[in-house]
Amino acid sequence: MFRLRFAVVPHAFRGVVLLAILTSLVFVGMQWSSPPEAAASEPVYGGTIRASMVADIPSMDPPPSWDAESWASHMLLYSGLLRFKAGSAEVEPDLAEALPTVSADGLKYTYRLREGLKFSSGRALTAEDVKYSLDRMLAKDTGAWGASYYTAIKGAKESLAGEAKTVEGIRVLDDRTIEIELIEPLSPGWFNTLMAVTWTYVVDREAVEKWGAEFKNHPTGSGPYVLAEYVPGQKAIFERNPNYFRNPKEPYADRIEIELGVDTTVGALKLEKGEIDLVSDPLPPAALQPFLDNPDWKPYISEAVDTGAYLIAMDSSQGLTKDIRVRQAIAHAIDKQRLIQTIGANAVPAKSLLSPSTGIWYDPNIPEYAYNPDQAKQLLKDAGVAEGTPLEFYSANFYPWSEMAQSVQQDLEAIGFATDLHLVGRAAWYESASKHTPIVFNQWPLELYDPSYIFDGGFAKAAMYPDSCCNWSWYTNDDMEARLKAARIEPDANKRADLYKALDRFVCYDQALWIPLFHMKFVQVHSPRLGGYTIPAVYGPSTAQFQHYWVTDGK
Amino acid sequence: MHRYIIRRVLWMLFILFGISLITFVLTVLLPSDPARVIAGPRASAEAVATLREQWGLNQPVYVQYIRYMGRLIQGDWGRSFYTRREVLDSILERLPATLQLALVGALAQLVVGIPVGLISALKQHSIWDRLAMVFSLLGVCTPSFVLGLLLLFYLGFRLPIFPIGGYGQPQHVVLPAATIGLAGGAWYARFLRSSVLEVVNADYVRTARAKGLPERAVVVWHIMRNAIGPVITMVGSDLGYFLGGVLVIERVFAWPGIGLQAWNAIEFEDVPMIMGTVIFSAFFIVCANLLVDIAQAFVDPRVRYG
Repeated sequence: MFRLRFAVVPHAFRGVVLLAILTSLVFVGMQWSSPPEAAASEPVYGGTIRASMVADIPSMDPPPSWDAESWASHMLLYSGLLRFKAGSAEVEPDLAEALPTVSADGLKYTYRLREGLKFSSGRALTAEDVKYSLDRMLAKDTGAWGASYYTAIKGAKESLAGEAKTVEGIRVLDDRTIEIELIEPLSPGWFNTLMAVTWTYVVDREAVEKWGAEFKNHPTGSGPYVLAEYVPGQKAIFERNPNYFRNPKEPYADRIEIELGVDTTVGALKLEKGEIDLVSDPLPPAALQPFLDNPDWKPYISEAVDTGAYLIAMDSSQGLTKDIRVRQAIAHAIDKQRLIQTIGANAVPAKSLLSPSTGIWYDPNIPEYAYNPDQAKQLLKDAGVAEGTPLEFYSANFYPWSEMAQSVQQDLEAIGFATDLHLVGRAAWYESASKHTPIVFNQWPLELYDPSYIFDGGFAKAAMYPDSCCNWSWYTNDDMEARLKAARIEPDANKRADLYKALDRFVCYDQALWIPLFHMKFVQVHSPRLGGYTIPAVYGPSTAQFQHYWVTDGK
Repeated sequence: MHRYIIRRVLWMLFILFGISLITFVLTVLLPSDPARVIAGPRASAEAVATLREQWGLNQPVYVQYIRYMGRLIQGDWGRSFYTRREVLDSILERLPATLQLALVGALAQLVVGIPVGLISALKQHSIWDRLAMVFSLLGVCTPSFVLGLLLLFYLGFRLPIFPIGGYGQPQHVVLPAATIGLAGGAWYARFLRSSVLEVVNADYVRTARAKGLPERAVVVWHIMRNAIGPVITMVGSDLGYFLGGVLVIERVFAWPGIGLQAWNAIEFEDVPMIMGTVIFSAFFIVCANLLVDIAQAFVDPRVRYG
């Protein structure tokens, strides 16, 4: 029977057919199992959390890093003055006993440390150690990737330029008190967020001086865990720090074992089999589907819309897109639904830069340029853009950017542009944004959880090319500077949110500088025995916060 | 013979130098600025410039290459852009894993390939021959990542006999080695079959049978001895190739070898690590070829003077 049916398949395709059958068996087979029973909601102490990551951990030393794996490790190994609450973007005191007091002019922040703080080595942690760590973060040679966000601190610029040994504005008042002085006020919400980011966390000076460049492999801090074993590219094992100031109340699990270099497809099999509790990277659709199809897994699936948007930015300073009608035409030309389908993404169409998941910063009433090719053509006609006008642009040659760019290319061809799309490597793609290309593809999630991160980063004069990044639409004027500053320093959270909502509308609709395309949805599965998991709000959704999780069986 | 070996070793050095030059030029000339990649999509020009300075990327390409080679000769392979660890340390600490997989995998290829190829040649046109050839066709056609995933799924997940990926215990090596064995063994079987078919009707085989040797002795001492040559050559160069890391298989099985290292390096455009893993694997491949050639020169004088 098999032979008969197989005989009708042309000879050359038999191999292909067999391969297709074999491959599909892998994924069909994945749907046949069920997880064990449910998790309790109260924290359970003890036991081991097991997880996998695709990549290695680039740097367990906090300042020189900008990636999920490193951030996740810092939260285990170190503490800072402030930290983010579990699964939230809200800031709470960490080494400090309370949120800082802010002087009336908004320039001086004073932090009071808790009593009896210790490093994991047992050495006492004082305000001097906090200053040492912040000075180190802002020193030229440390190469801190996020240092430019802290240049509002008095003396930070001089230190980063190598002109000063310590940062003038960071002062130790006594063993338990430290003061930070700014040169211009920032909204306390934004500055507190910055001071909760792991780059500011306190490192053990003795270990730094002992290990030098190798400190990142011998990290020593005052966090909930210590590094018990690290085999690069293979595994990182963390054990409870007996000297942690919240011990024994926190953390919950005694041990965290992370397997490194595990592909997500293999990670999904391990998760389903119960070998691990979490794959910290996003699962590919094919590996995720069996979990989604099986109702037994439903309680262990979390979903969240990402904070930012995938977007197109257009050059408003020269060329075709200098004319707002051309920018509006391009916005009208893009079929966002088809774009989402083309890339096979789990996503929702966007009309603002900040997504619904950002709460008070999201404005549901921002109008949008609906998909309307006819109107787009009319706008181009009004702007005097002839049929067949060339339009050259760049995108990356890997998923989803290549697929996105090709979908947009079709839309632009449909309204009469003769497009010339270059799909290039990562660096050339990043670099193309500085070359006045009419269209830039990118995305901007709130890794640093504040609208200033996007709006100052994308529209301030200080973000203009070629000296800086990423004013992709080359848009700058005094009015914009004033609006950005007003939002950056506004102390009242609600008023501030209104300012950013107005800015979001201004750049996406009024000026059509950036076209928000979609907000990606992040779907994550965890094992039934993992408690406390929510999709992280800060540092991006794949930055796991193991210090807040527990295993319900305590094993 | 000495002159032949010296000539080959000089060639080998020249080839390694060529490979290092081509790889370096490719990584540098591609429209790709490593500092830009390290710094990320939203880094300021200032941050990128600082990185360039830190990593010496602001020098002209030929200066970068000469400096790189100068340091390489002194044993300094540079630091990874991504993990910022010493490249040579990172490669050497992965060598045992790669060595283990290479040896067991090469053995598995022989264990699979020799019996299948031999049976199919000795029983030419029988059902066994056809089955063997279907097996080898499938083995040759199936991409190793599909085969690896199938083995993982059925023998690691459905029937939990073996661990799903990982490294450390002896059982961890079974599935990745079996993947190499099935895929590579299929090639070996096809090679062995054709070389056995070439000698099976040779005069000396007929003579051996005519003088009344038992069939087993005929196969082992007369057929196999003359037909196994190409397979041995293949094992030699395969081993060299595997020692440079088995990229796809190491990735599928989370096998912490040099191949996985290279894969990650390519993903992150980590130039020092790409250079390191390429030169390291090239070294093994070139050495394996050298050894095979020398062995052949010993056996066959025509090679020496040719």
